[in-house]
Parts: sequence; C-alpha cells; structure tokens
Amino acid sequence: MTTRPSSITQSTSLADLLERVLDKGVVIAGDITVLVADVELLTIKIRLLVASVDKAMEIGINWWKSDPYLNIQTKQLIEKNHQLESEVAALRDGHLEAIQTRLEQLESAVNKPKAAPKKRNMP
Amino acid sequence: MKGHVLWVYGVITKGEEVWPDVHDVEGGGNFLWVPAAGLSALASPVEAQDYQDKVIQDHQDDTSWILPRATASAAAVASVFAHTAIIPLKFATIFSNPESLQERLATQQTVFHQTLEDIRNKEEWGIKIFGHIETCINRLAEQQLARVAEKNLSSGRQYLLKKHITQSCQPQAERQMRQAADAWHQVLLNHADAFQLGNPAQETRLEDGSIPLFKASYLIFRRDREKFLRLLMNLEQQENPADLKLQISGPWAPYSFCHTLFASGK
Repeated sequence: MTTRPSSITQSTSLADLLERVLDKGVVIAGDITVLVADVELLTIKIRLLVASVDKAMEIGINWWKSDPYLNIQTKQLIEKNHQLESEVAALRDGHLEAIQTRLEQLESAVNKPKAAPKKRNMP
Repeated sequence: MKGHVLWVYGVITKGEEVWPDVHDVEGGGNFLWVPAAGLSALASPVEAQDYQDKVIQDHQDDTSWILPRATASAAAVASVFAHTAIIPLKFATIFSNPESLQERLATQQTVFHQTLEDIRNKEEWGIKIFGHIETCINRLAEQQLARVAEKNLSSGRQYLLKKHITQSCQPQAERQMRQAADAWHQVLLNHADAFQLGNPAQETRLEDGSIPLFKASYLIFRRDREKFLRLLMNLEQQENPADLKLQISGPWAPYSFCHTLFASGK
C-alpha cells in the first residue's frame, strides 16, 4: 500500500489546554464558593467561568453552540433541519422518479418501430 | 481581607520535588512545596483579597483573569510532570494556609498515594478523529458507478443514477466513517492503560469541513509514547478506509485520569 503524507496534526491548542486545566483535575472538596476566611478551601465552579458566550468565543470555546443538549435553540433548529431534509429528499425522489418515467417513455417511443404510412386510396 | 492564601497546583510523592521553571499564577516565581504524610503539594501564595466571593464572581467571565492563570497553572503542572508523577488539582484550588493544606493531605493520604501509584510513569494523550463526508460519499458513489459502468447506460440514465447513488450514499458514508473511527479506538485501547471518552459534539469542524467523529483521552506508559504515536501514524496512513483525519495533543499530565477524591463534608 502506498504511503500518503500524514494529515495527523498536533493540536495542543488553547481549547485543549483549557478543557483540561479548567474542567479536569482532582477536586479535593466540593464546588464551594465562599469566603476563604471561613473555609479551608475554595473551588471556583469552572462551568461558570466560561459561561459568558462572547468571552468564551474569543478563546475558541463554543462547543455548546452545537451541543443540542445544552442549547434548546440549537436542538429545535436541528430537529427542523432534519424535517426539512426529509421533505427535500422526498420531493427530490419524486422529481427523479418523474424524470425517470418520462425518460423511459421517451426511450420506448424512440425504440418503437415506426408504423408503415397508411396507403391512401386514390380516387 | 488582608494577607495571602495558597493556590495549589498539584500533589506529588514527597522527596520528588523539583522547582518549576515557569511563572506562578500571579506572574512571579514564589512557589513552595508543602509536605505532609509522605506527600508534597506545589503551591504559590496569592493575595487573599483577590479571592473573596465578590471578587471571584467578578472574574467568572473575565478571560483576561482566567487565561493567564489557566496557562500558568498548566505550565507549572507540566514543568513538574516532566520529572515525576503529579496529581493535577482542579483550577483555582485555594487553601487558606499551609497548615490547612497539610491537614487535608494527611486526611486523604491513602487515596493520594494510591492515585500517584496508578499514574506513575504514565501520560495522557488527547485524540480527536475527523471525517470529510463529501470525500467519503464521492468515493462510495464512484465504487457503485463503476459496478454499473459495463451496462452501457445512456448518458441521461447515467446522470440520474449518479445523482441517486450520491444521495443514497450519505448515510452509508457517515456510518462507514463512524465505524472506522471506532475501529481505531479499539486498536488504541489495546495499547493504552486507560481511556476516557469525550463528546465529539463539543468540537468544531475543521477548516476543510471535516466533521468531528470521535474524541477520547488515553493514558499510556511514558516508555510506550513512541510506539503509540507510530501506531497512530500507521492507522492514519494505512488503515484508513474512510479518509479520516487525526488530531493529537499531548503529552499531558493525567488530568482526565485523576478522579474526584471526595466531596466537601464527606
């Protein structure tokens, strides 16, 4: 088998980094946000950190836009899109079928042996 | 509130401390190691007044505050990880003083020691697989058209047939791409110590329109890194019936493989 140039890309992007640093790692206490004077430990709720769409978009985090489970509007749009796709496919199939039928008719008309011209009775 | 609190980056086995050759989250170099119960936690002091409730809430959507701290935190963890196993703690883990941190380490020493053993000499790699649906459809369509080419169809019939085949190939192409991506995952599993599946829907399309099909993190032994990368290259170059594309990132400290140790109050 021939060897093609590899399209593997190393993409240690900011998004990869943030995904791990902000969203992973060991939690050694619950997600509590209280005055540090009162408790031993403070952990910021990371999801809230990136909850501002505009700010997050700036740093390349925009996955919730396409995640139907997190975006009701997207979910509705996806459902609508599926519905429209089905309708278009049905119309297209019908259209193709009609063209195909017409083509078959034309082909059979072309292939049909021509009838001999009727002889006219001369007076 | 005056004074300092501690930003804690991660936990290692005591005796394996190295000083990170990077800046701390405040841009300085004031790292300290806090030892307890055979463990050692990497920390740096931060202004207590910057971590009050109100201030933190103001920072919640402030990328100019988050970004430098996230990158500094990752750099500090990576710097230590280059030398030894480290359990990365969640971003902005803050303790009020070294004593409270030591108390926590002592309380949780068993699980920390166990986790450190589990991740010793291992590293995390992120793998994303993308597929170009149009390319796959065209290839499938050409294969099917080649099968009927011998039937000497009229040009009109050929046109209609091509259109029909192209339309009908879409689900098949998607299925084939996802099956191929899953087959790669099965191969990678045999070479990984553990894995964590991600949600490919969180990824955006590539510039060429390729759609995200699969996303996972794999924990591999550090000594197997080259073998693992060669395997990826082999998959992409030779075991690629659906023209998939790979994106890899790593090596990371095992962020995805250090589970939550306990919840507050438990």
